[in-house]
Amino acid sequence: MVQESGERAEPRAAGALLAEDADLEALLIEDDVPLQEVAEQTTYGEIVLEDLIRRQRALSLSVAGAFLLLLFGLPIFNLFFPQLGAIRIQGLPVTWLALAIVIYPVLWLLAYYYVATARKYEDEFTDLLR
Amino acid sequence: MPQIHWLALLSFIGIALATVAVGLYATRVVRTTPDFLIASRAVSPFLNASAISGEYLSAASFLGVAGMVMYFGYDVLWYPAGYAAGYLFLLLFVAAPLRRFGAYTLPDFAEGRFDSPGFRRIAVVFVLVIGVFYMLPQMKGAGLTFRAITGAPYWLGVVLVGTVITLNVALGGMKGITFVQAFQYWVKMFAISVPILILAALFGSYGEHFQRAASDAPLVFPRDTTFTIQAGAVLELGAPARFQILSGGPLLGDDGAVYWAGQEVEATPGRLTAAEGATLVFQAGQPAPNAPAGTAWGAPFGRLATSQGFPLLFTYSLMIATIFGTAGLPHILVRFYTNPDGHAARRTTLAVLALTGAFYLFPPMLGTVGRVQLPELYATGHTDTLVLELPGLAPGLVGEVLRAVAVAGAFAAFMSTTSGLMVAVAGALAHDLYARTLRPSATARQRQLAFQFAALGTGAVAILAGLQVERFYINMLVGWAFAISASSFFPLLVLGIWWKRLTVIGAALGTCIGGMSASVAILVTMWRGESLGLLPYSPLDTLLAQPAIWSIPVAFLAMVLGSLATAGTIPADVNIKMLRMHVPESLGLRTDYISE
Repeated sequence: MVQESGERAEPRAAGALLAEDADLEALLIEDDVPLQEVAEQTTYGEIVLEDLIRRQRALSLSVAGAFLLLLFGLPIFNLFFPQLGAIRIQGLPVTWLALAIVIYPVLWLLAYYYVATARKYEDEFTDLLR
Repeated sequence: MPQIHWLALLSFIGIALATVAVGLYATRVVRTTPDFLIASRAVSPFLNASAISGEYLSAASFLGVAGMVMYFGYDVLWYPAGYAAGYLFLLLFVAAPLRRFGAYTLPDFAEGRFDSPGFRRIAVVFVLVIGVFYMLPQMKGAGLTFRAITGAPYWLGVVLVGTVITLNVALGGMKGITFVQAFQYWVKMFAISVPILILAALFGSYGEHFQRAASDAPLVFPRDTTFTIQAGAVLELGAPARFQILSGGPLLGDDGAVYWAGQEVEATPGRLTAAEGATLVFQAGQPAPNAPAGTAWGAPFGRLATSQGFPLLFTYSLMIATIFGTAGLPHILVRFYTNPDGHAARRTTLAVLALTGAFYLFPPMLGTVGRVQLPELYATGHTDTLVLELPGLAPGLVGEVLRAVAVAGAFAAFMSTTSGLMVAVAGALAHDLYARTLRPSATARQRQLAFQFAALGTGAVAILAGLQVERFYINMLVGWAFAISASSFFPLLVLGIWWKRLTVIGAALGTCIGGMSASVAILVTMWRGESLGLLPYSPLDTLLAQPAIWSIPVAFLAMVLGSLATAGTIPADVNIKMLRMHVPESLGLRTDYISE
């Protein structure tokens, strides 16, 4: 999927999306909100961009955090609940299954969620500025 | 008398020829330096993801993990988990923004983010350090594999494979390499999965082997086994054993007993030292010498973690290094440039996660089955070659074919990773050092020549250094490269992409302090001769051997404090830079660094 480059953004009234964020609610919705404003670092432009970056950063941090919680939690689990970890399923202990097998689909699902959500945020941002 | 596995040798020659052939084909289509260094951006996502996965799965993943699992059991699982998780972190924090920034290499990013040619030079230094460190385990893998299939000495494999790779890189650049690496991913995937699946069908399932591997009872030979040990080798017997010395020896017991060739030995638990190399025969059911105990093997906090002193500390530091080190690897980051836009970079990374995740399911299985089926590797000390030896268990010609397949995978592994690293390092020398710093007026042709010379030089360094590292475990060497990367480039990328207030002084401070402290800790560890379990450990030893847990926070701290202290130097156009990295391309803000 290739994005077209070099397109000049069309001015458009920003939608109700802005209203969801208390910071931006105060900003009036003008008819002309060219991308220029973002590039020229005017107040509105800066805020919209920073909002996008903030959302993306929060998304990345929360997915990272969720994963690290699981991963870093495993040694603690192994330390305090070795008997639970040793329960065998099809001959393999639960703790071995977790680290040798289950972790890989979990990683992928978290990644998939991230890709879909990051894209959604970007689409919303793009809509805001067109 | 070492046996030459002809089919496997042919397999190596085949892979080497195929690699060089594709590389040469690519030179016919390569015209300009951008072509040469980048590879066409019209590369399909599937091809790109296969190539990235191929480049990423090095000797550590292909050979090292299975061999280490055979020896150390559960604790080794953190390595492949960390390698895969690293890609998630790359996806979350680096993939799309780095692509959108338009930087081709890390030094490009370093300069571009701060408009600082000086910082570019610092970044180049770390590209060289990390690149060379990461080439060492690949060279070791090459030496090991060549010896395993021909009996030739370690150094010959290092020199031969190193030379083939160097020539291929110097001639073909990156374009040929993309195709080669995609092809090599599939070779590796096939090689890691098919032999073990066939063996599981023949000898029993993963679970069945695990039961046997992790049990209390002493590990025994599953069939009559003949193997050869070197002079000076030590055999530790945990239970009384009966075996024959076919030739060589004598073996000296620690109780003073002497056993000569031709003798049937009845040994009590204890140690036997081989005065000279010897060939021994153990019947099925006899206990296997040097085999680690089963229950510790199958459980967390086993020998790997405890032999390094502080199991929990070691485990966490290792996890941190492998996860965050991925994001700073110079040869991986370059690959993002081959995507058409930021979102494509994300989707490619998602595909890479699937491809590498699927791969990593197999090495632990190999290690488990190997422990049960090839216990003689404990006695010979060659558990690192498990992946190459295990397929030989299948009967007759099938065994030889599977062995050849495994060898193909092994060579594919270190050829692809080493090629990628060499391109990154030679590219940094030619593109960053020569073209942008030393001689900005250089023509495209001169830059191409610079690249080729740099590749030759890098190859020479890699080969010479590779000859020195035979005694270190492959994954330990990789872990060290990752620790340096995690302490230098990872903080730079994360803060550079997500924190407006990072200044060039802060970034440089953090990169240097983090990277250098990790490097020093590792060099000290290497110099002291650490191969696992040789010395008793204090907490300091653990922290030196696995520095990531402190060197990464130090790097971040230095960057943050340094930036806050020089807050006046935040460039006025920082918002433009943030814009470039975070705004989707459809709004028309792309810049590229290679524009000739």
